[in-house]
Amino acid sequence: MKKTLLILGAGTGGTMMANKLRKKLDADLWRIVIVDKQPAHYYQSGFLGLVFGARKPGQVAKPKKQFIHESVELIFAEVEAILPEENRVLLRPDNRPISYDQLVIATGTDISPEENPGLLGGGWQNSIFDFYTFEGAQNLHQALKHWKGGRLVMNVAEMPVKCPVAPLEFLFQADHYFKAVGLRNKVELVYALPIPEVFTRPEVVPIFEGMIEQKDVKVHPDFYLKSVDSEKQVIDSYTGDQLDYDMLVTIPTNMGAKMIARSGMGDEFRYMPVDMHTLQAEGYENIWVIGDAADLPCPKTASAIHGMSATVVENVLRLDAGKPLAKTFDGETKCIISVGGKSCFLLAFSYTQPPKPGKYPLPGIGPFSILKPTRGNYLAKRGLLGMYWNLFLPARYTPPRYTKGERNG
Amino acid sequence: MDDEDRNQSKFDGQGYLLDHTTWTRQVGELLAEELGLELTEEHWQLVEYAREVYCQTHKTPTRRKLVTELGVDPQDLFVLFPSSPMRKLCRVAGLPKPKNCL
Repeated sequence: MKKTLLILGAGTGGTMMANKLRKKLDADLWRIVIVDKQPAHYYQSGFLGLVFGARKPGQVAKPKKQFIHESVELIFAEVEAILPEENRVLLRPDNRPISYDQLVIATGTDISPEENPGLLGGGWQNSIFDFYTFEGAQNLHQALKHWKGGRLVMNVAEMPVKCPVAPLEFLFQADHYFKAVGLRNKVELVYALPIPEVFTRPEVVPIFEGMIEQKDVKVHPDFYLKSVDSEKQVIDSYTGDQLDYDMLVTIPTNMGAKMIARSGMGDEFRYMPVDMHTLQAEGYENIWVIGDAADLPCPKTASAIHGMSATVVENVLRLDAGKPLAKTFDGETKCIISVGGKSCFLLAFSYTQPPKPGKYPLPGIGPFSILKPTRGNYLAKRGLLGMYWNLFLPARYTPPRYTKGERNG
Repeated sequence: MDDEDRNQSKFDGQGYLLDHTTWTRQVGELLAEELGLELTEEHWQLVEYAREVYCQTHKTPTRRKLVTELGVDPQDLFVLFPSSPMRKLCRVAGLPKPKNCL
């Protein structure tokens, strides 16, 4: 009888895992099954492109089925719960069981606007928008097209969020967009966030602060969102501060899949505690966690997924062979931030290496510059969309690492 | 904080204790004083819980963890440790500054 490798979630992490494992696991010995609740795969880095009209919906959403190797069994169903003691997962609606030998949890994170009273009130998707969802990004695009100006508040409700760079990127692009449509003098840009500085990594705070000032964004640090009054168009903080808005762009509280809590697993955000180097779930020998579902002190960008999936593939094989686990994941991530117009900023760091200026992929040569806005970085960002769909997801190519150390991919 | 306590414990540039194992209740009281806080039983309950979480997981607790696991009203946290409750709580408890988890 074949062994089963079961993957929950067919987003970036799950899809890349399925395709990498299909190349490594003998199809005569292993069955690979992947479960997801909905059929569309989103290129999430493209959501901001949707907001500002640089991308069309068809470029950032495609059928999941198209990117998963044909010999991987793809099931569309919602997971009721994981029964880790029985090595089984139950699927909705009829608790159909799937047994596994090894399990990969890749169920990601989602926005939970219900966590703050009033956020889902009458203003939701009318004067309050998100861009962490495909629908939200499209609605915000439409709203911006018809907006006459006023006070736009970008608010992060609670940390941690999936991508801490995204609100800054939104503001930089908003400044550019409003200038381009001749509205900038009628728009006040405000950034209210629940941390003391504009970014989580102190090494790059001065750079981002400079950009924020240059783009005339007013910052309200340490703003801990309590509730929203969408009739009066005011947000309230726990410290008694109030900010009024004409348009509120929110990053609501981010939380993991409800299935994690139904399984009696996960932390207060429904994320899975894992070993930060092996990605093995704490307390479960044959469960691995990849992407946003993991409670890891690093961003879970698609670029981090390259390193994560390499480590998990290796450890699936090692566990099966009874060998010691590889402790190779080092938290490396790279992200390209659009700062408006045809200029982008490249950021790269890991658990141990802070962001610092340099060139990528060839040290000293580049052609891409780290911590510096350039047109070359912009061209790289433009090219990423095609690479994501055609090379990264099918596991045909892994981009070079930036930080030193053993290569993961 | 007097010299003796300063010598016994080392702090980072922002006043957070570098080694949480050198923390004592007295250090906690002195750190609270620096922050202008008068510690009550409710403060101590949170301080001890934060230390327990850190000793077990090597992570400072999040505000949400205090709310979901201890049943604390989030607004009360801002009354007990005004302005930035998790930074102040961690500082009094001798733990590192919360990382905000990038």
